[in-house]
Amino acid sequence: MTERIMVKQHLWQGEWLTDRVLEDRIGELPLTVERALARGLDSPALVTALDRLAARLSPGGALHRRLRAAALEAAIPSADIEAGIASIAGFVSRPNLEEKLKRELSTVEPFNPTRIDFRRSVFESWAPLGLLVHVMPANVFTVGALGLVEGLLAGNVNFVKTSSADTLLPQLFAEALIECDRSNTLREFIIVARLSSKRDDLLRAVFAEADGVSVWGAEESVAAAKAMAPPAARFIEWGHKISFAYIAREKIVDEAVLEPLARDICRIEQQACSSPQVVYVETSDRAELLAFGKRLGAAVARVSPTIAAAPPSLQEQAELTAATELVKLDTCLDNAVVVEPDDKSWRIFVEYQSGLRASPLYRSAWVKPLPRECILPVLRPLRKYLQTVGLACDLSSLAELSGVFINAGATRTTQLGRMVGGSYMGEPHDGVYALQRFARRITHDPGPDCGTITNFAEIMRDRAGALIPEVPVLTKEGFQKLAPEEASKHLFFTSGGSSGEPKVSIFTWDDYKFQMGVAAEGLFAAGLDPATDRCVNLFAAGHLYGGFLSFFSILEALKAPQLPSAMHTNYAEIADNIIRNRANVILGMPTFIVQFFEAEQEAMRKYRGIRKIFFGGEHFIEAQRTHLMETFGVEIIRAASYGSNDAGPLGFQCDRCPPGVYHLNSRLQVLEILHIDEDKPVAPGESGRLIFTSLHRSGQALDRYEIEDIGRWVGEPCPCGRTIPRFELQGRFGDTFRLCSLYMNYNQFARLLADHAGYSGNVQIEYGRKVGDMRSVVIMLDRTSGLDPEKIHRVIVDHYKEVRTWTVENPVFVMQVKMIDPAEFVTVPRTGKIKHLIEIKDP
Amino acid sequence: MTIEVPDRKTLGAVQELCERSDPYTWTPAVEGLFVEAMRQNIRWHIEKCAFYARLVESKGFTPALLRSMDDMDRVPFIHASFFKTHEVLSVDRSQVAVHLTSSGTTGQKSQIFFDAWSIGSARRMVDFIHDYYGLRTDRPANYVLNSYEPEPGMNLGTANTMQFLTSYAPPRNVTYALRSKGGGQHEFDAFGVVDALKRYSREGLPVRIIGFPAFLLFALNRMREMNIAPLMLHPESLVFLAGGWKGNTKQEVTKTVLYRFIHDMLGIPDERIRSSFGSVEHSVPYVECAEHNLHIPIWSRVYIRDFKTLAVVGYDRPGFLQFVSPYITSVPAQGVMMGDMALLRPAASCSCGLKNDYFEILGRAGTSSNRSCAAAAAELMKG
Repeated sequence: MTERIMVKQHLWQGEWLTDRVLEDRIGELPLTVERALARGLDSPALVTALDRLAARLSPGGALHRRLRAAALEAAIPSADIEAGIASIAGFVSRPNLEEKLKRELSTVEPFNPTRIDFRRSVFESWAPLGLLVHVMPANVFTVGALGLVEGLLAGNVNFVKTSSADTLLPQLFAEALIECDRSNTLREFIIVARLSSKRDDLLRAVFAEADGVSVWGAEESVAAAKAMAPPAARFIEWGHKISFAYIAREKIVDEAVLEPLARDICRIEQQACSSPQVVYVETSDRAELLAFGKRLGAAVARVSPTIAAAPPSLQEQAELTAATELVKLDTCLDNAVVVEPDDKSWRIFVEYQSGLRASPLYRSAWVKPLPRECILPVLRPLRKYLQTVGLACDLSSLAELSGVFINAGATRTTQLGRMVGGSYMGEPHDGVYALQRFARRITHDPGPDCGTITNFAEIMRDRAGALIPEVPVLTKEGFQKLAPEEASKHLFFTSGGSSGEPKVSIFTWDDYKFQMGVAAEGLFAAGLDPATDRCVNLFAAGHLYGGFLSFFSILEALKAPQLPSAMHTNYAEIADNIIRNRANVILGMPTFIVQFFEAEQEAMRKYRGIRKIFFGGEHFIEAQRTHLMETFGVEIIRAASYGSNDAGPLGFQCDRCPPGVYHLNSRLQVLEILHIDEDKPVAPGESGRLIFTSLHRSGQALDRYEIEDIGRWVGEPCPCGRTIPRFELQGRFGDTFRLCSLYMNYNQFARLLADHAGYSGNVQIEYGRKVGDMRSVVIMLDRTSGLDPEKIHRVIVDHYKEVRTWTVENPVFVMQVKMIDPAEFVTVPRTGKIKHLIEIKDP
Repeated sequence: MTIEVPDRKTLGAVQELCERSDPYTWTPAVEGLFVEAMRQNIRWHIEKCAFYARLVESKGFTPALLRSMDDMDRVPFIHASFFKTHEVLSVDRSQVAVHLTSSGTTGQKSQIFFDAWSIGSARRMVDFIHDYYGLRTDRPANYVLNSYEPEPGMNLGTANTMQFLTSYAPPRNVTYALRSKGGGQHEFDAFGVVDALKRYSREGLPVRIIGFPAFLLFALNRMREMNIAPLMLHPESLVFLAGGWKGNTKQEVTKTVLYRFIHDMLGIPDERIRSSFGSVEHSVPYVECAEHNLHIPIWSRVYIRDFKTLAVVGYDRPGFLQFVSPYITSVPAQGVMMGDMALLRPAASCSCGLKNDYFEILGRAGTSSNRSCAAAAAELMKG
């Protein structure tokens, strides 16, 4: 007895404790909880740590061995251990956790108060209950682990109470999770204590502080816990449940229902709450019922040997034998028939009475009669215990039967064969979403003072540094080489190709939706007001372009009125749409917008209705802004977003940001600014390469992606009140350039010149200069090569698709080939190398 | 008052066996009597109870198969829980003298019907055993009954038993531990019991404490918490424990611990502390010898059966506890299999000198709640 007290069997916030120290700590519990909640649980850190833990749980690893050893010590069957650890590993992997968060709490950022729409200043979010006390069932180690995970996902400080009969598996699991947490903050939210039921006093002390109590177990445990729980604490019980199958009339003689049902009966020895213990058959005829029972027996006889058996404990075997004996006695009264093989490895109890009964498990099932109209009177009195119904029926009966079972108290109907192990991630359990039961829903209404703030993360004062993944910088080539899983390839946008064939940037729908949501917040911050603005979307569409589509989605997210015009040269039609429908906001590319106003100046001058312009894709030259504002009455011209097809939305401008300065889209991106020549962070104010890591990119993971833009941090806090870091864009580097929102690549020009024009000398490209009223791309080559510029022009047009499309078929810019003296090439002062690209910012 | 079997002609051997006053001495004659009594008993129930006739037929059993004591394990057995949900009678309802319900605290109660013979002969067995162990006296005693104070109309088998257990020493004073509150409710009266013990100690008469061990433990705990000095009760005092720890399993302590505690607090010698085992479904009494072992009397046989195969297992192996006894004529419980887990021990392992094997109860057999999510609903959902 004394030995036990000296053993360190409790894990308190990462520290192993003896009973005596535990007692002291419990005395300080209120303060401990207060401190943890004040810090708040870091959701991204939690998901990351759990994902790392999932990897460490793979068979063969040290952690796997440690857990196995502890479970074997408790005489848990080996097959159960493997299955249990595997199910935990599956549960805590990132895709599963994110799916669960999205389904149960509708977001992966549950604790960030966010506007419910863009027209009201109401913010909602989830919040933890506070201290969540878990009373775990003895020796079902998976529940201990997963209950803790759910409590953490809901942001709570968790006190997991295991019984003195339990293994140390929950503690070991918690310890491993803490080890996987690079932020080292999760430990504060985790306490696992093995409290004997004799220490009622300690348990009472813990319960007194509880904000939520989650109890697994039999009636008595639940009642005992309820008696101890403070009235104000939310009481969440996971009581014992019973599930059954129902064979509708039309399926009674259908052979195809028997094997899936037999499998559900045999799987994991019926230990799941969703395992069928009773098979109800829609009949009142004894002979028909018995015949079904025998057919089912035959099916179980076929199926049972194919599923490895876990033997029952002594007590469970006694229960099994006693139960079978009792049914056999009933056969002497003509109340029942037992169908059992000689080796007693399974049994079917055919009973001619409808009452719901639990079976002794280990492949035992009742077969009972239950006509449709008797379902409610027979089952509703036991509604507290009902869970899953495995339903075999025709489509014509489906609505009626599933409806009546739900009324009787069941929470789930499914097909035979899918009762056990057929759940999907995020499926409600016992009629609830666990995470919602472990959290509170809260609202804030700060009124108009909150301006265009979309979520409270924007104005947080203590901003934790985001974790940079420990990988090398990802270049454009590297990005194109990424091979995402086929299943994650949902949306394909054209990517700024670096060389060779066209490349795509791929998103999952969920990531796209999240990113468009983030971009929408940015546009809202920039001044688009869904309450007053009616927008015309003039970005480019088709050919896998992202422009029009992403802004379509952004305006949809804002629920802002939209005229989806897209970019085309029928300027008169565009003007007509604008004027007829009284649009007052234009979104599009600067060059195109200017061309439009030029072409339709008379009508637009008369209309004078465009108040705001949000642009993207290139710079808006100062002179042009002034012109539009003076001539056409435009009041606001601002960037809609800073982003790219590859990386998604990167930054946004609030109404207080000067031109070129952006707030980082910190919900989506992590930004590093590194030296031009080495991968080290710059000093504050110094210019460097912008490196982005996307927090929500499942397919093509964007970790430390070099976008080939240059910028610097802007340290001064923004007057808008947002604490999100700001940076200033200072131009491009690298071999990709952008003109008229189109990406073109220096290397592509150089390569095709070598391959198809036989030219391998110096190449210099100047872009942006105005030629007439269009911008130009000028390819400068060495005159001493003796090649004909017109021939070269043709070669380029023939082999560079973008150039052909936008200079010949649909002229938006002009391409020229110029032969120059070698000495005329502009060089980089430091290295003497030829500058590949020269940007001309022509007004 | 004579106690007679319902039909002297067909149950003569049953009568004779149950009249033998020496509870523990087997002779070849006794063995022959037992075998014949079993045959008679079974024939009786086959004739009087349609269900039993069916059962016996389904097992391919006939009384003729019982030729010696070695064949007693062939008697068909019925699980005790069957009687919880089914009423099976081998006598007419008008013959039912007593109808006892057991004091189980979960689920339904057992209902056993006793005709005058069955209840009478079972009670007489208790007399025989008390006489054998010298526990009957003319000397008056003061009683503490750790059981339910009787109310008119109350029908618990245990309370009934307690009443008649005060018949072995004339009661001077009787104190009930569980006082009646009216409306069928009872409340444990720790103060009352402690005060009674103090009073009895002053009065100096032997004290007899009879009934549930749990309430005796609670009373002793109360004495200790209140710092009451240990009492020295009359050396002929007796503690007779019956009924088990039902409903108080959380507080259960071992016999060794409890007996030491009783001795320390009340001064009663170890050999005057005796537990007994009994159940409504099988009323043959099993009383501890001076070495605290439950020896099996000549009115029954005990078998331990394997949890899976139900085959008889030998000594020292746990299994279902099963009894075979010809005494009961009202219901076919002559081969009842209990929900208890037990093991059989050879007579030689006990130093008291009796040549009868004895058994040890290890606990309940079976589960009402187990580690899976599914099972516990059973307790509340019986049919």
